[in-house]
Amino acid sequence: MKGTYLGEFQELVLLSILVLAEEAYGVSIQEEINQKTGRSISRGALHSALTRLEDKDFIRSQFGEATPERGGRRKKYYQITNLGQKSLDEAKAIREEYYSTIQLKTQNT
Amino acid sequence: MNTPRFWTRLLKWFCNNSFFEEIQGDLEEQYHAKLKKDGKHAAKAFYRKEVIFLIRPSVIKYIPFRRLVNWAFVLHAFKASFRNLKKHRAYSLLNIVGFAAAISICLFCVNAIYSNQQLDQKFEDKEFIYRVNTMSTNSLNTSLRARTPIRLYERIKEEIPEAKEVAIIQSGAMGFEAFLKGSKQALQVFSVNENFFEVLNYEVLYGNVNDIFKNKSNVVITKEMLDKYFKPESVIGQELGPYIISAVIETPAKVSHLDFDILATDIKDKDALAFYSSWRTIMLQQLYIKRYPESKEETIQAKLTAIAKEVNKEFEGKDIDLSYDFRLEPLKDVASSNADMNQGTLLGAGGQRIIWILVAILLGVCSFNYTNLAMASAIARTKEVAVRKVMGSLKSALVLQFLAETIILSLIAYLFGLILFKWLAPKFATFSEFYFNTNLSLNQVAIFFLFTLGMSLISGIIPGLIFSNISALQLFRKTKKQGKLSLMHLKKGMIVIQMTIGLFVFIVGYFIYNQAALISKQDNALVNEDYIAVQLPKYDSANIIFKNELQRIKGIENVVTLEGIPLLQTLGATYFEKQHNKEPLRSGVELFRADQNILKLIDPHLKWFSQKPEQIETPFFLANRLLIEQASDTIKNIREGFYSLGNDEYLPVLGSVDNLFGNQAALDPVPAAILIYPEVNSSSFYLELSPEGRSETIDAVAKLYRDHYPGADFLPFFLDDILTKNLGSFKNAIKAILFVLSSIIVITLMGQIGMSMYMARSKEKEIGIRKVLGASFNQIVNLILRSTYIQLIIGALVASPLAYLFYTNAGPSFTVQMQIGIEHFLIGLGLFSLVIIGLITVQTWGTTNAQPAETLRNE
Repeated sequence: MKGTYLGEFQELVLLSILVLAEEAYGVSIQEEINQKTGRSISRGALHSALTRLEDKDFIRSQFGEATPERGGRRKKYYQITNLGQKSLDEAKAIREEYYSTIQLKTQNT
Repeated sequence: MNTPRFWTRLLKWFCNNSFFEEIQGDLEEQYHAKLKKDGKHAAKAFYRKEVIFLIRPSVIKYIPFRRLVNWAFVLHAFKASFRNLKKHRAYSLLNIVGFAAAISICLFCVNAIYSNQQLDQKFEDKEFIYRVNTMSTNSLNTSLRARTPIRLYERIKEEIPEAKEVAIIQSGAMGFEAFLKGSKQALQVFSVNENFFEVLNYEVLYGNVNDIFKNKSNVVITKEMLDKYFKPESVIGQELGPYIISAVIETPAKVSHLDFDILATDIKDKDALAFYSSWRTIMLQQLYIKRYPESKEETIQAKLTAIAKEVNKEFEGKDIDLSYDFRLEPLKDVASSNADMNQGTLLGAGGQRIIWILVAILLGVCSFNYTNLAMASAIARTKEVAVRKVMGSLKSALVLQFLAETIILSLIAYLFGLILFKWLAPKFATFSEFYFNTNLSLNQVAIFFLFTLGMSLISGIIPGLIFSNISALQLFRKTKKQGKLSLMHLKKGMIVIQMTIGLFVFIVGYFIYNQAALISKQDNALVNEDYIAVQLPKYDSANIIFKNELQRIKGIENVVTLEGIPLLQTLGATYFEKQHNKEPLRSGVELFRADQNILKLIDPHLKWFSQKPEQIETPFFLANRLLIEQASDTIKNIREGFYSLGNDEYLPVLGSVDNLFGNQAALDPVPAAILIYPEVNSSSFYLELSPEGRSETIDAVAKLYRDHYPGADFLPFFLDDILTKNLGSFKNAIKAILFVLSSIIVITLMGQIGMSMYMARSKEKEIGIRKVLGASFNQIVNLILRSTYIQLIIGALVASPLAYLFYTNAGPSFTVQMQIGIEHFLIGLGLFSLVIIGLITVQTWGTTNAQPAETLRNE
């Protein structure tokens, strides 16, 4: 579908937001990706991805509670939109098609 | 624990405000988690890394360039600065002139060094050309000379085929004099061989240079000589004393490290007089090698070292305390060579180093002056600054105001400095004997521009920051806070420092001036305008007959048989052993051997330890001051001991000779002695001539010489001329140093003028009131000078011991060492004080002549 192109890292971010559900904010998303992929990503890289995803309307955000550990600053929680979910599904479908093609070829040879 | 402050502030500065809360909150949460888990250092490192990685386009806030700087405010600051500078014209002019002068002088110095480095660049195949220097070592010292023994030429021709061409330059110990344009001119003659123009291809302007090798009477002159004394259309074939001009070349000093007037071909080779051809004579020849492109410098150097080893073996066999090492020096390095007797350049390596140091001091003093005056100007505007602070001026605005003024002043001064240099440089180049490049390179312009900018930033920021950190109320207060450093303390401190620096430089300059004067008019025990030295072609029993006939010539008052000619050749550094403890003198002794006739010659300088011996039956020594100091020890004083030259004969020292030097005219004094025999047979004689009819006497000696040695050239040595020549480069160096020191002093005094202007202005109202009450000019001047007297005293107490320590420890040893006495300090301090007091009095004159009504009107 036009306009639903998803980069690899953006896909990871969306998946992490889905996994974390209501607890998806900057720190938790970063930790989730670090844990699942073994890659250490910076807050800056995450911010760029979140900004792009929000610009594409794949996610939306809202401020949550402030905590003392955050110097009294509020958290910003992220949720996936329908469009975001759709683009994820498409990306998954494309991958599955590729994998089945490879499997068929392997069986035939 | 809070997040690192600097990085948090940095993030706040560049981060878009809409993201800041979220990002800063996340970072802080992670920071505290890391702090608990991994400790302070890990947490700080993590935080720092994250902030740096947040510097990306999606995070940075957008600031339009025009809003980065408030240009309207900057424009206003510059307008206000121009108005201020116009209002205080004298202050502005002082700063501009002082700084422009300093920049201009520094440019001259730097360009002189740069010009030096441009020499010798025009010669063909210059990368294959080398000069041979001689490192000569004895027990006294080691010295590197830009000279070689005459015999080295033949050895190189025989043993070093890699040397394609070998050029010789021989200059006699004496110069040449000719009558030109009605007066006697002393000219420098170089004798050269046929390879000279193949190695150093100077541009030929007229005639054919190779004609000088066809006829010994033919010579080549330089363009400088042509311009001074001849006409181009008739110069070829003109007579010049015994010579005929056959060609004209470009002036060598303008393009190379060499400086001469005439090129001739009277070369001495290994068959010349023993004095010239001896391996121990290295004053008279310069040698240049041009190698084949395919040959290696290392090969030639190795062969020269081998030749030196053979010569040294010869010296060892004859018990001569001397060894040589012949060293190649690439032509590109020759102009700023460390070697002694490096001719034709104003600045050898040592001289350049001194000039760089003086340039650094000059720039330092100038910067200090500038900052001092900027501070004084700022302090004079304390009330203005206080009013602006009360009206809400930001720190940055105050700093910008001062900065604008200092930048404008310094840039104007820099431009004036450049203009001054461009105007004076061609005039200097015309009159200078040496090559001086009148163009400035981009590097030079850029470096001095950056220095100017840097200095103006520092001198603008310092008062700006000081004022911006003082409250408005404190600025209005007249009374000083006890125990705290006030602006007045700072200003006074800076004036005292300025005074101390000025005094230090003045006193050191005074020492140098006196020392140079002492060297120039040195009363050398063996040098006098009535003394000449004559060297015979050979040493045999006929020398005694020659001496007897000399003594009969009318006009000769004394004939001394002397081994060793002062300033040219002593017997070398001789072993000198003390009998009472069998210990030789660590540094050896420079020795002359003479018969007893020398006693009459040196009588004015001679002090016998006890009575003068009636008859001389056994040899004895006469020693100079340095030898007396070094030979005397706790066991025996020199007058009690006996000393040997390494054989079994121990002889006494019977007296001292003042001003007895060896080969040195100015620097590096050495222990020296004369060993006096009842009779000495030698091939060199020292003649004392009667002042009347000197030239007739010399003619008679010449005739006698030619009668005894037909075919040999009579070449007497005039010792006072040799001394003058030897002192030439020393005097040039002193002139350059004194010039730069004087510039430093002038610029310091300009700073003093500026400060005195402020002092006068700050006391304007007080002076007005005192005038109304009937005070005289003297009383008013004394009022202003009160603080100056205190500053002079403090400056004197600090500068005097510093100047003494600096001069005695950092300066070289001189043959005639000036003894610093209290009178030197008193005269130096006195002169400086007179100048300062005079300047302040003149400054005060204007203020005291102002109408009190005018000065008090603004109140």
